[in-house]
Amino acid sequence: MLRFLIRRALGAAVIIVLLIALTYFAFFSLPTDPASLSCPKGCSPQLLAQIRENMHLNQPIVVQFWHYFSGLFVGQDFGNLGHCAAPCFGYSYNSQQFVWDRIAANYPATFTLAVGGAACFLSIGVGLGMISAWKQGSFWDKAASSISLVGQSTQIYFLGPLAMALFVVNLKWLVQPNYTPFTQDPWACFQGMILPWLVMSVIFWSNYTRQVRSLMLEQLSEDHIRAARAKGMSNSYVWWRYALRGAMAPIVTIFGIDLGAVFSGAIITEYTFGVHGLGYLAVQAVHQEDLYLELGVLIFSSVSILLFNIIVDAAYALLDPRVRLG
Amino acid sequence: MTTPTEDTTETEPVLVASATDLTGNKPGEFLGRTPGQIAWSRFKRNRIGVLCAGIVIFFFLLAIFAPVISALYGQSPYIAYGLRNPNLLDDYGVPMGAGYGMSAEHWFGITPNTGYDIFIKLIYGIRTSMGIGIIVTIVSSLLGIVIGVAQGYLGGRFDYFVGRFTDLLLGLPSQLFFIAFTPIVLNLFVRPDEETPIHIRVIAIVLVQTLLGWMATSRLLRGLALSLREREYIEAAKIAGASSLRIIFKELMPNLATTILVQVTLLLPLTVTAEAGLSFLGVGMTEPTPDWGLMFLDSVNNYQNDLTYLLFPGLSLTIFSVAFSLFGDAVRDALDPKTIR
Repeated sequence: MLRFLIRRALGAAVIIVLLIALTYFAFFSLPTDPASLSCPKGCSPQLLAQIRENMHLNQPIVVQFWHYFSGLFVGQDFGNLGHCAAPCFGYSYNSQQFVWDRIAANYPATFTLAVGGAACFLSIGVGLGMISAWKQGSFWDKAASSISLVGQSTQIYFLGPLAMALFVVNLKWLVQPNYTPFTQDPWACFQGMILPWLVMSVIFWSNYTRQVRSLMLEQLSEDHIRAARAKGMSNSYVWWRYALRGAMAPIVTIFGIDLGAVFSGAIITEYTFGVHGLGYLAVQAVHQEDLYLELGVLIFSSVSILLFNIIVDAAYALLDPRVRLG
Repeated sequence: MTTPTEDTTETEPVLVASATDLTGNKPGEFLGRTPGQIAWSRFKRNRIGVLCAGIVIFFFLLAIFAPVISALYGQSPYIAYGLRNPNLLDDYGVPMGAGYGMSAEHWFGITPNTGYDIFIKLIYGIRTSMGIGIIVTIVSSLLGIVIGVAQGYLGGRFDYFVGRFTDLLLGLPSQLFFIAFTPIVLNLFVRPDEETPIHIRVIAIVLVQTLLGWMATSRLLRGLALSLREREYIEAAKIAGASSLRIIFKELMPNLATTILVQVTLLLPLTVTAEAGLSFLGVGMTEPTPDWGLMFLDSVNNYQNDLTYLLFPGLSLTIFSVAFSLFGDAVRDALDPKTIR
């Protein structure tokens, strides 16, 4: 296990360095003038010159990259803007803040959205799959499959406003979706986020429903299930303790991948509901042409996804003893 | 790393067709049927599949004949009727009349604030989004086929390094990359102070989506090519002295065609919705180009006043996606001899 983790961590480190290098060069050497790209609208020549200076644009591209890369680990001085502390992703000239501060400020919203949304899509998706498997071939089976299929095909930017129009504007059951920190007021947090959680979860259901259904049916026809039934175990015990456990391992894999995706920012969900998370930040950065911010969000998200994948693979081995980590 | 590319839950039991077909029937005369005919007859029996095929064809026809429809219908997607005729919108910019401006002239009503005709704008929007989606699908499938088959057939170090590269790209948050890289690619072609022409925008979107869209196809084909490479008929071709090119195009490709076809039908709705999503986020196409995603953006901004406006692009996109994924499944079932119907 330890050897696996070390090996994967080393591999991930190489990939992360490559990734940072590739994205950096794409962002800072492809455009004709990166400084004017990250300059806010209507920016003065002095500011432009200052940005050029801070980006080290007069130096060779490799040196520029070195400044950025080393800044990620030891920080970097940004001229008169002061020192940018350790995970230094640069300076956002639009908001006049360091990029890391903006990421850190927006991350809790993404985290809350991801945790709640993941809980929703896991429970609903697996639930629908269990219903399908339990009532195999019946009306409920078809209904569950159809719901998840349509759910997969809808778009968040369609379903979201529809749900808001129904529950917020017409029925007034919920407040306009907004993010309140969980530590500050759990109930307000729940009220504000329940709609984004549910709507975001809809597009993930179908994968789980289909997988759980086929895996459960496969498991239920196995010999050890028959043996358990022959011993006289109750139906529900066999279902929950034997069949579901056997079906769980592949589900964990999909769940890990989806979890990585939502933790790195559910862009459209955040944009639709106005939740100021990482994905919202990314869109904002593009609209405001904030090069450092874009790059920062991109690197942060990619790295968190890569780390997630390692955790998922390790969890897979813990859950399923048949899997060997090579 | 385990990344599900396509639906791999094909654990249905394999039945030998002849065992069930001949019950009761006299052996009679055997008619020779080509694999295409067999697939077609299997496809015809799938009612949902045929219905979805109809819907898919309908969408294609809408997209192709958009100018004809516009001429017959008598409205243009580029004219803001509300600004031209102030009687159509009230003081708040909300369309007047039943169903938010629905009339014999404007079947689906008009948009709030500007007063574009929703019906014709939607059709032109479908045309734009589907057009871009189709280009992306074709280009990224071609790229995926070339890379995947080369990987599977050549193997060795090439396979290893390209495989790692594929892993890397598959692990990235693709939507985020679309958003971040589209402006960068645009900046390659156009100076920041110039207006971006539409075709440059299309090229940028296609480039970015293609670069991050080929991996699933290449993964799938690599695996298949790897297993087909060891078959006897390939060995026979090699012994007969066929060149690598000939083996790839004449021996491997016909056996991969089914998979490619299915993959393409499953990929197309994804690229279309990805394009719409980009435009929705304000990174894809821009006004006044009619676009599915832009219609969402406009209608979402007005959903509190005019919910019906949102329903038209929303329901049409949902129907499009559902029909396409069911159609893809039906195509796979028809072409795959292992599934039973």
